[in-house]
Amino acid sequence: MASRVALVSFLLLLAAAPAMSTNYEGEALQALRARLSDPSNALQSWNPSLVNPCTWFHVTCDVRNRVIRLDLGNSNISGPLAPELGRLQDLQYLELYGNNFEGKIPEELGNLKSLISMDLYGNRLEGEIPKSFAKLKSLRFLRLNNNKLSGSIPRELVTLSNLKVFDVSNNDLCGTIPIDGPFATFPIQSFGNNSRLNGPELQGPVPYDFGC
Amino acid sequence: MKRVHIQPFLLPLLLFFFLSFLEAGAQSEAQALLKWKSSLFQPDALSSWSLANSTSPCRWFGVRCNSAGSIVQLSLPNANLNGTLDEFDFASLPSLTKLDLNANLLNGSIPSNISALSNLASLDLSSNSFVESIPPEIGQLSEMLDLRLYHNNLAGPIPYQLSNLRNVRHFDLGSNHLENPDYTKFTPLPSVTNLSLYNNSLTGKFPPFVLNCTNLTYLDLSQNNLSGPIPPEIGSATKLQSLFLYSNNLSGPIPPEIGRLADLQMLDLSENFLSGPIPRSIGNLTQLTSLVLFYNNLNGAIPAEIGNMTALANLDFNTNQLEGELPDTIAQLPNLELISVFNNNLSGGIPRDLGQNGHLIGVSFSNNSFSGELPPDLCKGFALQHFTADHNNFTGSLPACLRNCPGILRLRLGSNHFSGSIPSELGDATQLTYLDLSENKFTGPIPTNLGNLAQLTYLDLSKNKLTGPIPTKLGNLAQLQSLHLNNNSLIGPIPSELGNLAQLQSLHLNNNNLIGEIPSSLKNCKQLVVVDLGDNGISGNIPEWLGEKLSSLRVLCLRSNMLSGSIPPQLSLLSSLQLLGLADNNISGSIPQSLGNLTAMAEGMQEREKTTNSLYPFYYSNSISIVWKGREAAFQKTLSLVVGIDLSGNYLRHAIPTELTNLSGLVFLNLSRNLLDGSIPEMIGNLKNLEIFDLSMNYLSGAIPPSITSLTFLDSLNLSNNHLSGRIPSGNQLQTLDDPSIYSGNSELCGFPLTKSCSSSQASDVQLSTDDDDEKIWVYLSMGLGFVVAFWGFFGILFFKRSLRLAYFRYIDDIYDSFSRRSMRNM
Repeated sequence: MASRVALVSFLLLLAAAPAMSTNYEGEALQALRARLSDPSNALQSWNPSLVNPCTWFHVTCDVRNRVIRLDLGNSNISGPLAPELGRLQDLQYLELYGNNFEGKIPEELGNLKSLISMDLYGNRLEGEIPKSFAKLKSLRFLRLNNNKLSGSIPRELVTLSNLKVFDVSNNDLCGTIPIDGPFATFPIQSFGNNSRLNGPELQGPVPYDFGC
Repeated sequence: MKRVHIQPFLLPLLLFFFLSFLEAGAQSEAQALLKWKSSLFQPDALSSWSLANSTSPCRWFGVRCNSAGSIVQLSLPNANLNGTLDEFDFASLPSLTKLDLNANLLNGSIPSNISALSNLASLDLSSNSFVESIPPEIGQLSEMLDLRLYHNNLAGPIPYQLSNLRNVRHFDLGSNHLENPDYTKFTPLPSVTNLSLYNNSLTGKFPPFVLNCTNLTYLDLSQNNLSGPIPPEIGSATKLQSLFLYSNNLSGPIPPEIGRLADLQMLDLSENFLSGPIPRSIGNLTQLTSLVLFYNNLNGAIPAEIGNMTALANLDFNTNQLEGELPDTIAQLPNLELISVFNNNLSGGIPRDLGQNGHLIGVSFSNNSFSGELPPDLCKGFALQHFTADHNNFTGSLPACLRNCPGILRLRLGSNHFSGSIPSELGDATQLTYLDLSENKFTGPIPTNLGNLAQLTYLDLSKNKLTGPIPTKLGNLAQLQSLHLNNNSLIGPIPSELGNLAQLQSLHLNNNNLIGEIPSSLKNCKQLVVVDLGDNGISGNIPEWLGEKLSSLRVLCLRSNMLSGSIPPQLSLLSSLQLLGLADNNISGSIPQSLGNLTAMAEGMQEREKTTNSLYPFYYSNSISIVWKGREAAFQKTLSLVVGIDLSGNYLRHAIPTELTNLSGLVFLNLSRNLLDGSIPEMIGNLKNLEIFDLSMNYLSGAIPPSITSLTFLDSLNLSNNHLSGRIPSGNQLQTLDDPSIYSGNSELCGFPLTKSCSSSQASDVQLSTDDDDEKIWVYLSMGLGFVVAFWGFFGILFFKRSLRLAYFRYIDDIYDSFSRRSMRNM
C-alpha cells in the first residue's frame, strides 16, 4: 500500500493541469484522426486536451475559432474519411490530396456548406460521388481525380453555379458527362481516363447513367 | 485394546535403536539441505550449514527442529539466495511445517514435488523470480494455513486445485501474470480471511467464488482486467476491513450494499469505469479511514451522509463528474487529513468550517466551478502541506490562515478571481516549493520577502495586476527553475540580481512595462531554456552572449520592445533554438547568413521530440504567445513542436539569406514589414514543414520561385506589397491559396488567383491540373476509345436530330480547342 499512498499524493501534486478537452470541431478532427494511420506524424500536434483545434498544425481557424482550412496534402496518411468532418460548418478548404485515403466519400461532406475547395485527388477513394455534394453551394474547386470512384456523375452537381474547376479524371466512372450549368465550361480532360464514361450527355434520348 | 508388554531389560536397547533412527533421519535432512545449498550461487547466508559445524542441522541458520530433532521450520527471508528449488529434496523434510524463502533471488519453476511437504502450514516464496505456472500439487497440502507466492513471474491460470486448501487463511498470489482459474471447479475457500490476487491478468466479471468466501477481512483484486459490475453480494462479506478493486475495468454503479460492510477501514475503487452517484449508504461506514474513488465516471452530488464517517482521514474523489456542492458535513469529519476532489463539476462555496479539525494536510479543489471565499481555517493545525484550488471561481483575498501556514509546500491558486494584495507573510512559509497565483486579480507590488522562499522552484504570479518593480531579492531564490511574472504592469529595469538564479530554466517577464537593457548578469543563468521578454520597453542591443552562453535556449522571444542594433550572428550557436521571435523592434542590418546553422530548426519533428521528453517543465510550465495564422495564439502543450522565426516589423535590409532554406523544420517564417530586397531564395521549397510564410511589405523583386509549389502544408501565405513580377506559380497547394490579396501590391505579378492574366512571354508553368504530361496522352487515348463507343452508339440519332447534331459539333470544337492549347504549352 505504500506505493498506493505515494500515487495518491502524486496525483494531488499533479492537480494542476486542467482536464479540459477539445471542442465540437476538435472532436470531429479527432474522429478523423482516430481511424487514420499517420506514419509521418503529420498529426502529432493534434493535442485533444487543447480547448480548440486552432493551434493544431495543418488546421486554420477564423477569428471566431471556427475551422476554415484543413491542409493535409501529401502527408502519407492512410485510412477512411470520417463522416464527422461534415460537422465543420465553416470549413472552406478541405485539402486531403495525395494520401492513401480509402473507402467511400462520406455523404456528410455535403454538409460543409461553406466549402470553397475540396481536393481529394490522388487517393484510393471508391464508391460513388455523393449526390449530397449538390448542397455545396460555395464550392469553386472540386478535384476528385486519381481515385477509384465508380458510378455516374450525379446530375445534381449541375446546380453548383460557383464551380470553376471540376476534375474526376482517372477514376472508374460511368454514364455520360453533364453539359448543363458549370459543366458547359469544364475541359474534357477533367473527365479523362474513365473507361466507362461515355462522352457528353445527349439530353433526351438516353439516360445519363447509360452503361453503368 | 490389546496391551503390548515390553520387558524392562529391553527398554535401553529400544531407546538406543530409536535414537539412532532419529540421528539417521536428521542426517538425511541435513544432507538434503546441503545438497540444495550446493546448487545455489554463493549462498553466503548459509555458511553455518556444514556438517563440520554441527552434524545436527537444528543449529544451522534459519533451521528450527522439533523436540524429536526433525526440521519443522526453514526460515530464510532476505538471505540473498540465488538459484532454483530444483535440487531441494522436499521428500526428505517430511516434518516441515513452515518454509519461508521470501525476498531472495530464487528463479526457475516451483517444483511440483513440493507437495511432499505434507505437514506444511505456511509457504512463503514471495518476492523472488519464480516463473511458469503454479504446480496444482500445492493444492494437496491440506494443512496449509498461509500461502504467499506474490511478486514473482508466475503465469498461466491459477490452478483450481488450490481451492482444495480448506484451511488456508492467508492466500496471496498478487503481482504475477496469473490468469483466471477454472471458476467451475474453483470452490470458495471457507477459511480464507486475506485474499490477494492484485496485479495479475484476471479478466471477465468479478470472480464468483470470492463472494462465497464468508470470512474475508482483506480482499485485493486491484490492477487486473476485471470488467462488468461490482456484484451487490459484496455487501454480504460483512467481515471485510479492506477492499481494493482499483485499476480494473469495472463498470456500473457502486452497489449501495457496500454500506453494509460496517467493519470496512479501507476502500479503493479508483481507476475503473464506475458510474452513477456515490451511494448514501456509504455514510454507514463509520470505521472507514480511506475512501478512494478517483478516476471513475461517478456523477451526482456527494452525499451529505459522508459526514457520518467519523474515522475518515483520506477522501479522494478526483477526476469524476461529481456535481453540486461539497456537503457542509464534510467539515465535521474530525480526522480528515486529505480531501481531493479536483477535476469534477463541483460548484458553490467551500464549507466555512473546513479545516477546523486542525488535521488537514492535503486539499485539492482544482478544476471545478467552486466560488466564494476560501474557508478561514484551512491551515488551523499548521499541518497543511498541499493546497491546490486553481481553475475555479474563488473570490476575495487569500484567507488569513494562508498567511501563517508554515508547513505549506505547494500552493496553487491560479485561474480564479482572487483580489487584494499578495500577502507578504507568504514569505514566511519557507518550506514552499511551488507557488502559483497566476490569472487572478491581485494588485499592488510583489512582496519583497518572497525572496526568503529558499526552497521555491516555481513562482508564477503572471496575469494579475501587479505593479511596481521586480524585487531585487527574487535573486535570492537559489532553487528557482521557473519565474513567471508576465502580463502584469511591472515597471523599472530587469534586476541584475536575477543573474544569481543559477537553476533558472524558464524566465517569463513578457507583457509588462519593463525598461532598460537586458542585464548582462543573465549570462550566468546557463540552464535557461525559455526566455520571453516580449512586449516591454527594453532597449539596447540584442546581447551577443545570448548565443555564446545560454546554450540550452530553445525559445527566445524579445518581440515588441525597443531593441536596436543588428542581429548578432552568435545566435546561430544556439543549437537547441526552435523559436526566435524578434518582431517589432528597431533592429537593423541584414539577416545573418549564420542563422541557417540553427540545427534544431533543421531537424525533423521526430528527432526533436526524442530530446524533449526528458524536459518535463518545458511542456507544462511554459506558454508562449505566437502570431499564428493571422492572430495571437498561445502554445503550451505542443510548444516543443513549434519551430519558427519571426523577424517582422524591423528595419532589416538586404537580401534574404539563401541559408535560411536549410531550416527545413520551420513551421513559420515571418520576415514581413522590413526593408528586405533581392529575390525570394530559389530553394524556398526546401522548407517542407512551412505553414505560415509572410514576406509582405518589403522590397523583394524577381519572380516567385517555382519551388514554392512543393510547400504542401502552406496555408497562410502573404507576399503582398513587394516588387515581385512574373507568373505566379501554380501547383497542388498554391492553387488552394486563391485569395488574390496575398499577392496584391506587386504590380508585375500575373496569373491565378489575380485577375491579371499573363502574356505569353511571361514564362512559367501554370498547371491547374496535376497529372504528368505522359499521363495526359493516355487520357486522350482512352477518351478516344470512349468516344468510339459513345459516338457510334448515338450516331443514328445525330443523323435525325439536327439540334443535337449542332450541339455535338460545338462540343467537338471545344475538345479540339483544348487539344491545341495543350500542345502549344507543351512546345
